Amino acid sequence: MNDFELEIKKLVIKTLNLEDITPEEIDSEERLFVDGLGLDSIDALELGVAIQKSYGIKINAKNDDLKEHFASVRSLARFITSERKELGA
Amino acid sequence: MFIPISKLLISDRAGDTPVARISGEDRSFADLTAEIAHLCLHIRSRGVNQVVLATKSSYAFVCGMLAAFQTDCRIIVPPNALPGMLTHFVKMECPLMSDICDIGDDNQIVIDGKSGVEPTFKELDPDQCYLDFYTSGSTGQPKRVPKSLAQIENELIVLDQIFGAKLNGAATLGTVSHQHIFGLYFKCLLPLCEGRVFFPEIFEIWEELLAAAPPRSCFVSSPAHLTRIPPFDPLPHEERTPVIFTAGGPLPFEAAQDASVKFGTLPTEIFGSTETGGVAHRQQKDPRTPFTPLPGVQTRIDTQQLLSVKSIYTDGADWDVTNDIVELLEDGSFILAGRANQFVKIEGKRISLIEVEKYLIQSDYVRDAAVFILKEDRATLVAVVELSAPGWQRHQEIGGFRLNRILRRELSPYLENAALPRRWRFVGRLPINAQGKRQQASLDELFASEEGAD
Repeated sequence: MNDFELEIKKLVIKTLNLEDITPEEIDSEERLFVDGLGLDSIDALELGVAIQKSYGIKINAKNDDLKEHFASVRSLARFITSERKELGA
Repeated sequence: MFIPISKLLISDRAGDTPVARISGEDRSFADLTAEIAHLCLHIRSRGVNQVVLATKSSYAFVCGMLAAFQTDCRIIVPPNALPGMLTHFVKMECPLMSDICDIGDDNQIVIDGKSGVEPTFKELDPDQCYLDFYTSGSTGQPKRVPKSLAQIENELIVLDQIFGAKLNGAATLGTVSHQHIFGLYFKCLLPLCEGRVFFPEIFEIWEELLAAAPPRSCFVSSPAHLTRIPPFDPLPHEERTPVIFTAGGPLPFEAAQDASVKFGTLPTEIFGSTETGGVAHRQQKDPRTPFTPLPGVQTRIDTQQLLSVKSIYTDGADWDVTNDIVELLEDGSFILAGRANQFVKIEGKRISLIEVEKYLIQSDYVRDAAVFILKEDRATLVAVVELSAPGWQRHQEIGGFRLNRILRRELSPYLENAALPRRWRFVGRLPINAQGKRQQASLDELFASEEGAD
C-alpha cells in the first residue's frame, strides 16, 4: 500500500473517531461517502477541516470538483499531493 | 419593501425583482408568478384540498407553497423528503408536490419550473391558510404542529422590524433545510417578503457556500456548521456578512468568536421551536449574554425554572411551556441552563431517541437496542445493540464497523444524518436490572475504553 494513502486512512479514522476498523481494512478505491465507508455530510465537514489543517492546503470550491476529490482515499491522496506541489511551487 | 405573503401575488412588486439565484441565474418575481400559475392548474385538475410539500430546492418549495395556498389547499410539511417519511403522508387525495422526480409515482405533482398563466391571483386569508409542520414526537411518531399563515406573517413582520435594516438587501444562503420552520422563515420567506434574493440549495460545506456567496451576504446556519468552519482567512472588509442566523441548539462561545473573526459578525442565535416559533435572540459577546425576547413575546418560569412563552404567533395565543430550563432576568431576558425531557439535541436537530430505537429494532440483525447521548467534546449519539443470531453471524463475517455501516444504511430512509448513531457497541444482552430498567451507568461504561468492545 502507498504510504501516503495509509497516512490518510489513519487521518480518516482518527478524525472521525471510527471504531472497530484498522487503516488496512479500508480499501483505497472504496467510496468514502454514502456507500463504501458510509460517511455522511457531518463527516465531510470534519474531514475537510482536518485535511486543510494537517496539510496546510486550501480547498476552493470555485476551481475544484470536490465531490470527485473526496470520492476515495486514492483520489484524496492525489488531490492533496497536487495541491501541496502547487503551494511549494 | 416588506410585503406580507398573503398580499404578495396581488402586490405591485416589480416583475423584474430577483427572487432566487439558481446556478448563477436569477429567477424574477415574474418567473415566480408564472411558475405558480402553472402549478395552480395542476392542483385544480386533481380537485384536492391538501398536499404534501417536500422539495430539494427552497425556490421550488416557495412556488409550491404559494400555489397550494392560492388553490385553498392545506400544506403538510414533512421534516425531510426521505421516501420512508413520505409514505406516512402521501395518498391520492393528498398528493406530493416535489421537484424530486422519482418518489411520488402517480400521486405526485412535479414542480418542474414550467410557466403558466393565471388571470387573477387572489389575496389570501391568513386565518384560512395552514402549514402543518412535523417534528420528532415522544411516541416515535412524527408530531403535527399546525401554523396558520397569520401566525407566520406575524412572526415575519417582527423579524423584519428587528433585522430588516441590518440585512439591507443582502442575498441569503443557508446550510439548513427549508422543511423546518427556522430554515423556511429565515432562508426563504423573510427574503421573499423583503424582496431579497435567496439561494435555493442547502450548502453542505462552507467552501461551496462562500464560492457562491455575493459580497455581504446573510448566512442561515446551525451549530453543526458553525462549529466546523475550516481555517479560512477572514473575509475582506467589504465582503463581510451583515447577519449570520443560527438556531436549533446552543452555539459554543468559541464557535461564535470563530465565526465573527472569519465572517465579520457574531452569529445571531435564534431561540425557539416549531411549536413556539422564534422566541428570543442574542449575539454571544460573552458566554452569559442573555437572550432578548422578540417584540411581542412574554416570558415566565415555573417553580422548576421551566420557561413558558406567549406571543402573537405561538399556538392558540396562550402560554406555551418549553422544554428548556432557564435563568430569568428582571427585564424578561434569560440565560439557558439545560433541557428537561426525553428529546435530545444533536447537531441542532431535535431527535427522539425512542424513534431511532424503533427503527433500529426493525432490522433483522437487531434484537434490542438502546440509543442515547454520550457527553464527549460535543454530544455524540451512540447505540448499544443486542444482536440477533443472523446479526452475530454477520458480525463475525464483516466485523463491528462494517456492521454498523449496514445498520446506519438501514436507518437512512427514515432518519436524517444527525439521527444516525455515530458510535456503536454490540452486546449479548442489554444491561437491564430486575425491574426491567436499563442500567444507564453500565451502558455508558461500554464507551469508556478507547477500543471497540467486540
